[in-house]
Amino acid sequence: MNPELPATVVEFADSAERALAAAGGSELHRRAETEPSVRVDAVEPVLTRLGIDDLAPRGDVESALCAAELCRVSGRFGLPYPVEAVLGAPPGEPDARLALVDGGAHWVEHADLPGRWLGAGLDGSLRPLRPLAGERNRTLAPFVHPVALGERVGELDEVGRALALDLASCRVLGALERALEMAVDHVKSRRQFDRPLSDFQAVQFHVVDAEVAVRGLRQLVRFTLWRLVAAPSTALTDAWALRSFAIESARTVLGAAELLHGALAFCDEHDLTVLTRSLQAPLRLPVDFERTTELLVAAIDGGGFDGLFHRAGDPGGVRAGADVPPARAGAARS
Amino acid sequence: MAERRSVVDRAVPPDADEMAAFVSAATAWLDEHAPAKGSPQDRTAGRDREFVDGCRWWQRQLHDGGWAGISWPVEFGGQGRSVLCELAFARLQARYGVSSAAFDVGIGMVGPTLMVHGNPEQQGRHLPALLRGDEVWSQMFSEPDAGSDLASLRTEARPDGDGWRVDGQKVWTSYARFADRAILLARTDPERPRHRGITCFLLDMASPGIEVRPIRQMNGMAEFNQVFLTDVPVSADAVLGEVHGGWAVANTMLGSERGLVGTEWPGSDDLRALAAAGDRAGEPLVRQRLAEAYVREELLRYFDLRVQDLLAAGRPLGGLASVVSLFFADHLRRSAEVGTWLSGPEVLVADDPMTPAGRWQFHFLTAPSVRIASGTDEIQRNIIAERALGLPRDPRPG
Repeated sequence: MNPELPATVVEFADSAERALAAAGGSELHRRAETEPSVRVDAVEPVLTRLGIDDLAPRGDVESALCAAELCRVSGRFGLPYPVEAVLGAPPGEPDARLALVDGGAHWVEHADLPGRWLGAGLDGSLRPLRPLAGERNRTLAPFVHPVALGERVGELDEVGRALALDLASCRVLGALERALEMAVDHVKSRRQFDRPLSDFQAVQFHVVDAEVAVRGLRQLVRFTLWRLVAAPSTALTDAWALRSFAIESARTVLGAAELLHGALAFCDEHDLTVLTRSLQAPLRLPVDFERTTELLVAAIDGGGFDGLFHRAGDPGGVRAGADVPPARAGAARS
Repeated sequence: MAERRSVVDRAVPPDADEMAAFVSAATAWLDEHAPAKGSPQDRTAGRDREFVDGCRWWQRQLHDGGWAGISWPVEFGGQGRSVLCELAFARLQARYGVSSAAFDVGIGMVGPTLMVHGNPEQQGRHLPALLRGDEVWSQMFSEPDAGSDLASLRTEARPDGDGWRVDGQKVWTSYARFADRAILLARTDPERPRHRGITCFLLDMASPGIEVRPIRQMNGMAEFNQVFLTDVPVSADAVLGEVHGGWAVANTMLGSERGLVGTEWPGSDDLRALAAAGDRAGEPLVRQRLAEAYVREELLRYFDLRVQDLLAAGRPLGGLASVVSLFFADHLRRSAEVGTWLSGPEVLVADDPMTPAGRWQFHFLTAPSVRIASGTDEIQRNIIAERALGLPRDPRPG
């Protein structure tokens, strides 16, 4: 595995970030809260120009990385648009929007936007999904809608479900990166006791803890995406592991950013609150942290779990640098 | 200092029988006079002005019913009971659809500060009005560049005839839009060392030159405000304590902030009810979280008893107030996490602040503010390091 992104992917991510910043950045989130049509009128055209419809993340590694980067960049702004749902369209349904759903009550972000929506259960069952009418609460998760699921129309394989989870984790990564950057900027510029907050070692330690979490998450995202292509049989286990780590990282990074920003952290005029609120849906849907770890354990029980550096003697580990991992015992579970 | 602190805490703590009688009488009165939580008459459901009006109404009921200023000394219109009774009453009250949160600053902090530093005229003017619910008070201490480092404040009061003129900007002032009065810190002598050139004023919010701009918060409330003060006239008799002696007043005031915490936050009872309602009380992980919340709550109770004990004995709290503050903020954050978890995805879209999911949504979004409410976690840690552990001071410039 090469942890560096190809230059073309880096270039794509940079241009996506510039375009979304020019379109309004985090202000788009605020505007869309009171004016939901902003999502279609202001956000969608930018994404179309960036080529969101041409990305086929299941096709090749570069496309997968570009899709992941687009989700990450959208997370940096708390972009009010179902980027992962568009990019996660199941095979044969390129125009569909996909959301993972679980449990009896179903909630999906942006499900009120037009398009053919499909809901994939955690068991893989695919069903059409339609938004239910209802006044939205705009405080915590302004774009989440209750939805109803129709009759089963097909099945989404494990890679498809893993991809949906991975793209959501990329969005979390983007939001945490930006929260960390804002915290660093703030502690460098904010002065108390006649010097910048960043002069205090206690403050530095908070920032460093967040930095370690973000770096770890970034590496795990890349590893997981590489494995999605290189070792698809373990994709779902990897995806639950990534999600679990993403949620934990969010606690660390948001906790530090909130603390360091002081009262600014919960004032709506500051972008940190946009990030905090934009993360609530991806951190809690389709399942929360506790259920994520349960599902991870179940996936490990079913198919094992290995990383880059498997122990000698383990059957079926993945070797670093291997293009295709050897077949793994128990990998072909249903 | 110990004598000053004990102004509202000098009552003899009640024994178990007295406390039981107090709780029984309070419960009977609350049952009769307070609307049920979640009922159409619930006065905590409104936001902003509606909420503050509900607080004014409730404080008046408390006053007329003889339950206002439970721990205030009798000579200042209070009931002269122990703070333990005050705390017990607050915990009971939290089960009903009423709040007196808009008076937390006034009755919890300004009143006790007036008792120590105010002259008889100031005490006579404001203390009864506070208890009656006639005056909502706001605290104007923090500034954009003076938060943790309060002594660097720059709002200036300059002599003008018999009185003063004030210019500057304050921030994070709770309830400023609805407040009748504010307690204000301003620099009155920029030449003196910074702690010794500050004066405390009792500001009439109806004065000309005061502009209040609400700050919309993540939890949907706009409790905090920015306040712009432009050539605001303040009369000579509005000085609280000594001219240039405002730092001592501020310390008295901030010393009583500890008394504000935690009365209206849902407790482990609520978490247990939530788990039972979702039929999840049997899940091992849920049980662990509930047990942890219960343990934290019990510890807070013991902390509280310890604080009262020291106050009653006239002994300094040392770092204990900061320990409680740190522990409490952590408890709220953890409880809000458990509450939102047990509420499930409904917590994302809960519309009604009276439903459990809606309440936990609100508390989840409010929890971060508790970490900075009376000094950030870092400031509390510094105080513990210095006062409780005797460690050297955090390096600070001269």
